[in-house]
Amino acid sequence: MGTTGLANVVNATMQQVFASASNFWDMLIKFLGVTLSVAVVVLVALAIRTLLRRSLKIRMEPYIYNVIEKVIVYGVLFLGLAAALAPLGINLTGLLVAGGIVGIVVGFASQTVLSNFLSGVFLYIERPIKIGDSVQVDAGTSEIIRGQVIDIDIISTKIRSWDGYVVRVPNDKLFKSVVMNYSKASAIRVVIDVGISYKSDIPKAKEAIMKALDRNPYVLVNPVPEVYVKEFGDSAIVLTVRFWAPSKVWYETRKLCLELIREELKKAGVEIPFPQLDLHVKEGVLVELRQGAKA
Amino acid sequence: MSVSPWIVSDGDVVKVGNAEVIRRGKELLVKDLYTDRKFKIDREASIELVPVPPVNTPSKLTNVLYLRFKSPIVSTGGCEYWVRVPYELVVMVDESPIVVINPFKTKFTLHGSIIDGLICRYYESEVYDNLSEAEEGTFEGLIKVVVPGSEVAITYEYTIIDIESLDVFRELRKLRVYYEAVTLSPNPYKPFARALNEPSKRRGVEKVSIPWSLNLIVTSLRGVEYGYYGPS
Repeated sequence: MGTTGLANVVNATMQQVFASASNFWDMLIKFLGVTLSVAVVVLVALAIRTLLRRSLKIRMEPYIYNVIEKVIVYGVLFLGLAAALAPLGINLTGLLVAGGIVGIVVGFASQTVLSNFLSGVFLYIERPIKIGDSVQVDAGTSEIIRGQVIDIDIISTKIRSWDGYVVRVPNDKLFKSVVMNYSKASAIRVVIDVGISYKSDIPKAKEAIMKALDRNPYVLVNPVPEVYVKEFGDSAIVLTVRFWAPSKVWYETRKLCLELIREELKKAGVEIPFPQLDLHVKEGVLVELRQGAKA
Repeated sequence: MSVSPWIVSDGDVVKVGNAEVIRRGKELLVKDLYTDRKFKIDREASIELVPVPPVNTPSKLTNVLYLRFKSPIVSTGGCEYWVRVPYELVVMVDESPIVVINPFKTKFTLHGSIIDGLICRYYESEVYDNLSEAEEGTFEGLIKVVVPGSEVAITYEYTIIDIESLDVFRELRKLRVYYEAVTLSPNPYKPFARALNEPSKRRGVEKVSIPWSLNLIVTSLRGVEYGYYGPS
């Protein structure tokens, strides 16, 4: 190799080095630009979140607001990041199309998640329950869930059972379940059966029960409480007591009224009998008595 | 200078209906049909009773009063009557509310439908022609009720008062409570009385300032803690 050849090699190497350096600086500038864009997108998303929290959060139910905030903030983040990454050769349209296809694939692959999400949306629209409600959910499983709703999310609903456990119910399951909401109505009817002995005076017993109901502040004056003879049972005359109580306190009212009814019946001399059987013997029976035997 | 009847001094026993406040040295006993509590207080603490609208005990379920007239008012308007209403007493120790007691027996009722109806505090009152008649032999609170004019006679069996929003007044020399005057609604579908922005009685009374922290103590009242236990 002569001097000319060496010079050519050196030139070519230098050109490659300069080209690489130029590419490196281009890449560095692009990378810095993208980083800056991503930072701006994140800041804009955070600013939007702050704005939403200040303007909307105080005016909306928490579970509705949470969905709106997530959709808007994540939407802005996704679109902003896609646009910010474009200079690195990532095609926005391609990404969206790919995202759509991937979305469909993921959607098919995870139907449960999608089903939960859509059920969550329908729950938001129908609003059979809200945070703080006392509910009973019969999801068709062996156990019925009873408790207070503590959170409603896009995918699931959390219920604090009366025993203190937090139960997570997927929204699609909740959507298909029989939900009994104790807090939806202003008042709830309470029914109690009381057995009194056949020797008892029915009007006197009814009066005593009405007095007990009057003593409890939560037994509503209107609708008027009622007491009536339901049936003649094996061991007792069964009276049915029906009254209405505010839905927030109906169960407590029921518990207190049971005690008050017992107290008032006792005061009035009305006996609440235990199950008993009278045995009538038609033919004579020989009873052997021994001297000194205890009665 | 006479001491206000609303101040509870050492050795005092204040009894208003079912409510009783006893102060003995460093002990303060308060009781009514729903509360029976004993507090340890500073010997030199100042104790005052402040009347408030009857919506806090046994637990706060509503802010309105359903007042049934024992003798319904039938009128074409232009007249005014007096009715008796309940109140509650906040026991203030050194200007801080510590407990609410209820001189009256409490009952609730439902106005409207089971689903969307309104739970109201329930009370019944006779209707009196003038103040002196209404004041006689009672410790209940009093409200002046104005019947609005109408072309035909209207029967008023009851009224619903947003009693929590009414101003409360107490007499300076007696344990007597008055509310802001109200006017009845002639619409039977909307029987909500409207406040007239004037006291029922002007002389010898002072407007009560309801302690802002009252809501904080209402949750700690003995009553129904419905957040903890449910049907199981």
